[in-house]
Amino acid sequence: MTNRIRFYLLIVALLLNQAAFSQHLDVEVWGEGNAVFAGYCRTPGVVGCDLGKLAQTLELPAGALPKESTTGKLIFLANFRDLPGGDFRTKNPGFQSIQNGLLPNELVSYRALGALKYWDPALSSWGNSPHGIQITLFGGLEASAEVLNDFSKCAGQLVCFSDGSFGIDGSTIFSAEGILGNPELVVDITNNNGILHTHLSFFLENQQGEIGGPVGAYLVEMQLISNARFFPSEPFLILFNTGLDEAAFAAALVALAGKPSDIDPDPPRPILPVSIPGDVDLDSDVDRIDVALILLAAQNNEPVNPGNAMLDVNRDGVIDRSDASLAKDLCTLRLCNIPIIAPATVLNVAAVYDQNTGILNLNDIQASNQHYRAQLQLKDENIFVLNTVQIDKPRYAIPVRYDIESGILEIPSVYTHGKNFKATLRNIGDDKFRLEHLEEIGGVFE
Amino acid sequence: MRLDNSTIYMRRNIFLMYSLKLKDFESIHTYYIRTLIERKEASKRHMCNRFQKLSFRYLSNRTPDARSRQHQILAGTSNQAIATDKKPSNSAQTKGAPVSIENESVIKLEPIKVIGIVPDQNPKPNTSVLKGRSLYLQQSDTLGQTLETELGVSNASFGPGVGVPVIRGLTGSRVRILQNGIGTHDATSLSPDHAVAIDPLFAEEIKVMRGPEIVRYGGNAIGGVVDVNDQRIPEKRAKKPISGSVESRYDTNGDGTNSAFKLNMGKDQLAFNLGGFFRQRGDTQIPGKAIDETFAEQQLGLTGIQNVSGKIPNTDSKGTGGFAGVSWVGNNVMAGMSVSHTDNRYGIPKGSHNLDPSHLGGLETILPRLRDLTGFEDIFGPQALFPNIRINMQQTRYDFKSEWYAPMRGIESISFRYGLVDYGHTEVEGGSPFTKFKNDVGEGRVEARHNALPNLTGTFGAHWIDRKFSALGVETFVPPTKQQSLGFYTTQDYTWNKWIVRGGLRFEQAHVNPSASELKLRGSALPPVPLPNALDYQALSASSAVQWNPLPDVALTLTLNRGKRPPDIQELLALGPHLSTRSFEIGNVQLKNETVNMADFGFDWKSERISARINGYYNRTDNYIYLRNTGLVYEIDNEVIRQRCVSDSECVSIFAYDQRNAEFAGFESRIDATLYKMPRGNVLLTVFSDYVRGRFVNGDRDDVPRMPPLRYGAELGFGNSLWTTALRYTRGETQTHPGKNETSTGGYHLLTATADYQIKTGTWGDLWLFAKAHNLLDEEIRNSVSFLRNFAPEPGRSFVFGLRASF
Repeated sequence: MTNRIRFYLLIVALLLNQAAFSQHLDVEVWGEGNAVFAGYCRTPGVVGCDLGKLAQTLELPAGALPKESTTGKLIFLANFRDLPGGDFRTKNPGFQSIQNGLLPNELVSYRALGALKYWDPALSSWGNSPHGIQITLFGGLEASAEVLNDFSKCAGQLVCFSDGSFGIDGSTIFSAEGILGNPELVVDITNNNGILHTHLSFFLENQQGEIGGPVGAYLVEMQLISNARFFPSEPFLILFNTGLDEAAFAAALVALAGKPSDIDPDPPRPILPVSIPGDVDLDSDVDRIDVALILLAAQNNEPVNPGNAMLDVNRDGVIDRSDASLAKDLCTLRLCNIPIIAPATVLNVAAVYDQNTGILNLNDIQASNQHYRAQLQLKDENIFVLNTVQIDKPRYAIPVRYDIESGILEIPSVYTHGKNFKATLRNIGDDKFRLEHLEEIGGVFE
Repeated sequence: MRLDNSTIYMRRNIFLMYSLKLKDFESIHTYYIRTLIERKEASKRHMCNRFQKLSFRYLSNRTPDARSRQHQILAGTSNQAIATDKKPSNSAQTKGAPVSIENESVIKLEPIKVIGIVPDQNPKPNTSVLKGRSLYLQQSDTLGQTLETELGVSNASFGPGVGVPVIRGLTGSRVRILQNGIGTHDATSLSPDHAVAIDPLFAEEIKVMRGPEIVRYGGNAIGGVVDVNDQRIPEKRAKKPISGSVESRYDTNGDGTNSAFKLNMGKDQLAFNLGGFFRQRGDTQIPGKAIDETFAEQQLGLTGIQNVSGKIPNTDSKGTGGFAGVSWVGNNVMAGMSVSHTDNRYGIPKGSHNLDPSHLGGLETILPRLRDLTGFEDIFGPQALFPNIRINMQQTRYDFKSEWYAPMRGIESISFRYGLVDYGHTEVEGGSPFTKFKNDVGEGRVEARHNALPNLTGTFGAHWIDRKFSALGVETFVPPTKQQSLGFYTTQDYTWNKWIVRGGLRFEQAHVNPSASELKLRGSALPPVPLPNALDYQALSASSAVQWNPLPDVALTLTLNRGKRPPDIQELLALGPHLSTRSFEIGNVQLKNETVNMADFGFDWKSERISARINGYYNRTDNYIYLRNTGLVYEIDNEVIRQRCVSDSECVSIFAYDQRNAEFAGFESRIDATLYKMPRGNVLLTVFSDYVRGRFVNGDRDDVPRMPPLRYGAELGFGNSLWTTALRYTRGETQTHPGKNETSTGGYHLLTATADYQIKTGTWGDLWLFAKAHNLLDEEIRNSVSFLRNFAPEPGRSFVFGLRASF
């Protein structure tokens, strides 16, 4: 019991104390096959995801993070008083996916579940939330089915919603009675590299929309869905602290979760792509956060290990300020340096091969003037079978090219196992393609 | 048709009167005498009318004293003219008269009764002209600042680098700003943070036309016109081989310096003008804090914001420019052109971005833990973390002008104007450009002025604009678009006894053609939005005015206007975040013409010691185009549309362009009096006030946002023709009608003082010394018409010293 309390106290203390631990506990999203997954973000270096370091600090085994003891649902922690937006409102937890964690332009939404639960500190028990108190969550609206982008249906307005104006209900209400309002709203859409990082808006309020609510802890449940995958993620919980001190909030958490040792290992990790030099937080660009992270590691004299190898930008075996300087030179974002034309990098690859599943995702195939997206499955040696194909729009600077007459599929770069290959496949009929040529190339297009 | 010598001579005189710009009253007098005795009887009455108009135009811009004195000259002129009619033998010896007139039957002329002292018949009601000493004293860094003391005019500032005139509460696409009759074609109508591409220091005359002036200037003049005349194209022959002026002034607030020169050169029929200016100032000093912290806490939910006392950071500016003009001035034809370039670089007060220091995309969580940032100041220094937004603006203009005076009987003049404007500005954040605006425009006008009948004068004209607009970069909320308009118009003035009736008609065709077929919102899941191929608009506008002069000193004017404005590009096609106004705008391609219906009643009274001018107006605008708050927000960093947002500082409201009827009612009044006449000078008192209330007609009758408050005050002056001093007090009342979701602004007391002294140095020229003190009480003034009023107050106390030498 002592160890358990100490563990949660430390988590809560770190969560509540922005100066000591200001990284957010974002929900990491990734896709595998036809399913979307949500889990703790543990990708080393990614901003907002430092739970690995947290567990290390706590001298706990990796993955020993809170889950509901009865259901095994992950519990994400948030604090209504964490941001300058004011009490009773928070943007946390955020949602993010690393590069290629999801498909390009994949639309991720949430689906609200269950009912709002409340931890009463006076009774030290979980129950329904006080009457009239609710958590309102505002998601993105632009991908709603009710959005209209036809000005002839919007009285001339370039964008409107189905009722001809913006009178849509853009909120989800978690109440003791269940879910009210719109149960599904958009989290965000990934960029061309499958990256997503966004925060929603949670408000604690009464039914009249007046901000505020009793001190305590609140629990909501949701799962994530994707427009590109059939299966939603496993449901997970978000635990909000509203004015409780560390011990009281830890008690609320302990009441939900079992002993740390009871916690099952996390689900399999997504495949980590190789980072571009200097991109230590794996958000597909080199920006000031990357430089700051390297400086911080250098200041702490962190030794190079497999988990932080990307911090050693110049690959001299030491993380020091010269790595930060090199990253600064490589910085490509606004306020560092704006490239006139984005250079072609490994990030531009239109094809990804997953060696574990044998699935070859071709995210942009150009055939004549038409673009497609397709998935092939490796069946026999050098033979791929076409699983799915659909018309799509151009997505990449250098797409896969398919010659209809010759049946040749030329992949300028397919990424797998940290390497890039140039590949050629031939259509041999019956939805089958034979690998005819495979050649390793550098990480960057010429 | 063959013209007789006297007719030719007559026309030449009229032309000379134009070309000399009525340099002094005596010249009118001389011309009048000379011409009247030369004319046939049938033409004399018409000539008298012409003379009256020219005289009154001249007199209306004089001081009461000078006007009175010159009225007496005019009365004497009348008598002399009549006497001349009776004694033709004396007048026939007038110097310069052509020999041929000796045989004219001038002796048969009858006295012309219309001659006499009649009240100032200002050719345009609600028009005021700022020129000469008054203009020089009011000249400031921006056009809006220069005109803000004019009645019915306010200054829409966006920090001190931007000052756009607001006329009777209207600005942007509703007020045309002209440079020598052709539009400035900058980006002021698109966004309030874009400066007017005119440097007021060059101005020789600024004409403000309140109320709709659509008939001559097009739909964008629905709210009025500001025409800055800097005479860059010479309109008359040079009197001396070289003349000109040099001016320099220093402003203690912001350590500002303004310097300009003008040279007028010429020989025979060729005339050249040359000018240049340089302007520089530092950050504007203010009495308190830049950001209204109460606003930041209540509206944005922010506490502990980065705020600065005593100055507004990033409000320094620097401008340079120059022009060269050349003209050929013949006997009754002139043609000229000019080339000019203006470069203006200014900062935008912080407010739209980086207000919240705790929000740096995650960087704020790491930086506090870093002990040594040496070598990384360029990306982690204050400028990199909280970058300044700067605007670098350039404009190159090519202007062409031609006038043909009296080409045929009944046609007074035919004029041609054309301006080719190459405008561009780049918005820079932290030293990196993020959006580039481009506006390439050609605007032309051909106008014939007739005097077909003795009491009927007027114009017929054609006016066209060809515009290519684009905005490329981060803030591309408007697609590249071509816009063309063509208008035909006529204005007519009829004079009958004590009545003057004016009327005008304009038909305009506008064509808007976006070059993109669809709009895609960057980083958003919003599907691409298709655009129409082209949009066409037709607008018929009409104006009428009746002026009655019941007494010699009194004029009553009733003006009725009905004008239409086709929607502007951004109103039709905007889609995306507009950071300077903290908004996300959605255009509407089915907007109709905006129609203004204005009734204006004016009363003018001028006596020897007192003059008064009062205007009351009511403007009912049908289909007034405005931004309707959709109730949704757009999160800038996440690029997501949602209904509510945790941190208001990271979100902007989503507005959709819509139409709704609106009404504006207001007044302007001013009374000037000479209290005492003393040997060393006169004591003058002026009291003034103006007000406008704008509200929507339907629904909850919201207030139209960003209206100026009730202003009133008095000015006490003492001086003579060589020197003047004045102390002016203005009270701006609290703006209690700020508009929905807008914050009100407090009242203020503005005290200013001016003094100037003219030194005549004989043949060398004149030296004019002046000093101006602004906001002597060092009041914190939040300007209710400014978008940035809660982030940047108006300048604090300042003293301006300057000199102007003319030779």
